[in-house]
Amino acid sequence: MSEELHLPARRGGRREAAGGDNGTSRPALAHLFWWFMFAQGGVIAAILLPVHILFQGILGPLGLVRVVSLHNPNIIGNPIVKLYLLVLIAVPFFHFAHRLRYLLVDFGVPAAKSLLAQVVFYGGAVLVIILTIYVLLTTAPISF
Amino acid sequence: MAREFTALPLAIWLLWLLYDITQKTTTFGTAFAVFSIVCLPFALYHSFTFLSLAGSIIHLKLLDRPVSSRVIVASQFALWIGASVVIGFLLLRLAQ
Repeated sequence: MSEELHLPARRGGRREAAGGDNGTSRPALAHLFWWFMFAQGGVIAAILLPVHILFQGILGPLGLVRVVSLHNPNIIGNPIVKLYLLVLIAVPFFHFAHRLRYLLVDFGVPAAKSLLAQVVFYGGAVLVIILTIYVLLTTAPISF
Repeated sequence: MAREFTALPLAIWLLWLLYDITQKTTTFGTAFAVFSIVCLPFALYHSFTFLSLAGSIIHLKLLDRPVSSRVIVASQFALWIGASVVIGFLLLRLAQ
């Protein structure tokens, strides 16, 4: 299936600006937002995730190198680190939500195209953002 | 379909990272290392396929001449390598 078919589409599959029939031109802001978040999530996952998986997931736990601990209050309390972790953890979920929804479509689940599925998957991405913000704000106080 | 599937292990990996932050001590042990070894090829596959698409998605003009898609893709891969070096350095340096 082509990438074009996997881009977030407006309901009914229309991608152009709304209001074309009556001569007015209205930007499809909702479509723009979801497409932007999908693209940014993909970029963040592509550029940032492999090095984190390599160092924090493999080399650190296996004891091959000493990697920064996210349980160090001086590290996790830093607002720049908190902001970075928010972007690293939460933003890719907008990309993943779309990918996982279309994975179900590829598996032949037509319900994955429904409005309910969109609410569940993209709402799930919003929930992850809220959860990440909550975790980052409650685990360690912000300190400079 | 493979590209869509990459989202699943990567999403679980990020949720595990978030869960680890909530704990008093790290949960990153051998099990997490094994899971990460499984996740790394998926992450690299996502990176290669996603950044390779940049030439089709990004259209730039420099001095009224279009920048070739190969240059745009190369710049994205250079950005990826540069960011990985910087982040890798920080992950090690901040552990001191």
